[in-house]
Amino acid sequence: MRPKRVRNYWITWLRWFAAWNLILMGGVIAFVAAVDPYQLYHPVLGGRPRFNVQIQRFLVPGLARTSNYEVALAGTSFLQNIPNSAVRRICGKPAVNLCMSGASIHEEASAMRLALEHKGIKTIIATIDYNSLSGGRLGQVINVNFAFPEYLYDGSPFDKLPYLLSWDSIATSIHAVWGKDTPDENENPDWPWKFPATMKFDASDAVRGINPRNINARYGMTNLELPAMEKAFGDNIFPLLRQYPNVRIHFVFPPYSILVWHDFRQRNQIPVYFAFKKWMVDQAQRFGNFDVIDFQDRADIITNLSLYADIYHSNESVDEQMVRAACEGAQVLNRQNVESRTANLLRLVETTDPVEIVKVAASHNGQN
Amino acid sequence: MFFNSYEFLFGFLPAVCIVYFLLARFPRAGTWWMAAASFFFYAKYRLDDVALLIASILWNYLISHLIVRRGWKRGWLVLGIAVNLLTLAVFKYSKFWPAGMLHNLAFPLGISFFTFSQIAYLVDVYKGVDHPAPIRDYALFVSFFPHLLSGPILRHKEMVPQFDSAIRRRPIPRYFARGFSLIVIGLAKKILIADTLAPLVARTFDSAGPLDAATAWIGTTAYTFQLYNDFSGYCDIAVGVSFLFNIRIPENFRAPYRSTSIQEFWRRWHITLGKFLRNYIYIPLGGNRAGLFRQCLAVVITFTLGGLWHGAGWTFFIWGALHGIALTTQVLWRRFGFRLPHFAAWALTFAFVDLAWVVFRAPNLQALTRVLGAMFSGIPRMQLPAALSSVYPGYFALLAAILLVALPTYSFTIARRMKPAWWTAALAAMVLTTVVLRFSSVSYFLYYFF
Repeated sequence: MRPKRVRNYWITWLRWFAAWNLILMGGVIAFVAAVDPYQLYHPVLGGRPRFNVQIQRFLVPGLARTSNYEVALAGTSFLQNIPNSAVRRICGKPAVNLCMSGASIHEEASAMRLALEHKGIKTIIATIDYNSLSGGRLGQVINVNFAFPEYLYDGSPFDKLPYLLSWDSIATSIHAVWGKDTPDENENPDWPWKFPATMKFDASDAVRGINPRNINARYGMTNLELPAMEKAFGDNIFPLLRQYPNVRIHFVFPPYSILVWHDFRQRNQIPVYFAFKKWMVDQAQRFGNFDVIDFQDRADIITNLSLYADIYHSNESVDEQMVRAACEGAQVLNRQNVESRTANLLRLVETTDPVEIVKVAASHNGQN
Repeated sequence: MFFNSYEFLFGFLPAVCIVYFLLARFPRAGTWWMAAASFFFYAKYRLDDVALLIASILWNYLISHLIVRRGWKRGWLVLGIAVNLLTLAVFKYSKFWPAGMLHNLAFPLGISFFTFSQIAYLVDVYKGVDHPAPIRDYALFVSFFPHLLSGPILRHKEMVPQFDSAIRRRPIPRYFARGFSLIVIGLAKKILIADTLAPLVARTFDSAGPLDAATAWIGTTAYTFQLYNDFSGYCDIAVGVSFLFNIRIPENFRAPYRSTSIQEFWRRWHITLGKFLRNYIYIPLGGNRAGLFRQCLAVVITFTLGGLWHGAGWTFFIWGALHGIALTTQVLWRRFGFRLPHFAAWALTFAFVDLAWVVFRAPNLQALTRVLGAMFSGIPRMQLPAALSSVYPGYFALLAAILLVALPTYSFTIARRMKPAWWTAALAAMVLTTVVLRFSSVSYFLYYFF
């Protein structure tokens, strides 16, 4: 009799243990799922989503899944600073912004896949930033100090525990419902990734800290090689193009300022990037369901540094021009114009002096 | 796959456990199942390493049969061990090779553990104290997932009889309860203490900036407790998981920081490595039967090799030699009949172990001199308040770790003495929930890379 009695005690203990775990972990899961601060399953409880660019990669999957849209913006920060309502006004369709600051091509493709799986999606406007093509197939994550949360982007319902069962999610949930606003946050679902007020679009700000003779010293970007760029793009984007032939995708080369092109020249990267553009045009011809919109030879934009907060990022009026061009089919780079447009850009770079540009911009002093 | 992951705790472990007991009537199938699950567990980290693991298993299994069946016993043993050591030299000690050779080889996790377990097996077979078992048992003995990545170092003759015991294929609630409690304790040690101490340690050892004495002392002490909680936490989980399958593997730690001598420390710290070193290096070198000088020499050689077991680096070499010299000193000390009061003996032992860990942790000799320099030359100018100025979870973890060491109990006694009451179940569940909520920040066990 005695062994049976002891055994029953431990069975009871195991039941208690299971019950307590169910209560505690189940309670956490229920709370996080109910609040859903990343909007993975439904709009956030209380209707106050806290958009914070620091956790952009965690928020984008929820936006892609729970928003109502036909146009999606994807890619890096070059298209993130535009309200959805502006896209709707320009393109005539509801829109969502799935851009991520410093996104790698893998991250961009992950967001695009979610958008492509969304019912009703018609158009995707995605940036092609050369830096996003560094780091191979899985890309190189820039600007973030955590691993890309793949589990939020896949379709499996079984791998969401890192979201549903974590201290960070509890804290984010509590903050979403009861927390006070912080300067990093934005509660406007129409313009979730608006650049902060501290970011000023001014020529003197744009060139601050730039050594015109070694522009890359300020940013430390890596040199790229054409085969690696093509592979990074092909491995991540081609499967999407094949799988969703009926969705129109516009890849936009964003208008880096003229100083970025001088940086490319200083690092002997211009031939690589021009070759990549030509390759992209060939791929557009081959696939037929995407086109290439090029803003990089727009002298009126790239030489006007008062449009820029730094040598890369331009203001929302430029974002609007990119979206308009995409939706109206303007600025398209094709086999007929690729040679002449790249030649024009090269001429522009060769006929300007970065030292003089920086000198003039630095003296600009807020005179927008 | 790692113990501190959602997929292990909520997916892999329950699935393996359920199928294992469903196969209760088919012990051989159960053993194959466990071996397959172990290979899957290993492959989840890096698929390429599985080939090496399988090759290592097949090689050692073949050699053990050759030792038993053919005449050239000693030759087969030497060949078997040589290939094992060569494998280690290629994958683990590639830093010692000339520049340009082998530097791109990835370090296979757990290679030291599965290699040394198999060397011990070959020696036991050669001595006739063990004999080859069926390949399924042998494959499971080597790959058994709870111990595969960080030990304990198992002995074939202690493990294999457990695999085929049919009675063990029935769930035993007492073992389940003990297993879960050890898993919870191990995870708590790893995640709540070791991982929280990690930034304090990194601040001292891995930063290049100026280092003051207080920060250096706090960082080095934090490492002493980080390493213990990390490694013993892993071993607690390994033993706990094994309990779920009614398999008992040896405990690897018995409150080592309460030791009052270095000899006692090595009976309480990484016990299975200590036994391995004693049985397979120290005793063959003559042990304590060949005179005092030979004994001291054997101790120093054994522990220097024990240091190198941890990796290719002068700091490991020095750390092992230091322990060897300390043990030799203790042998001589006792020979001359000196005695210390209990507290003084404990304090001296702890101080030595703590300082030796500085050598062990330093990434290179330059960092070692930097940290030691800050610890000792900066004492006159030490400003404790400045080092503690930032409120930091690490300080609380350090305090908790010190208090836990002071308690007259440790993981195994807690698990053994635990009452089957609702409140112990609630406490265990609360701790488990707390640690699971921190699974989202991935961290490796330190001994994965030794």
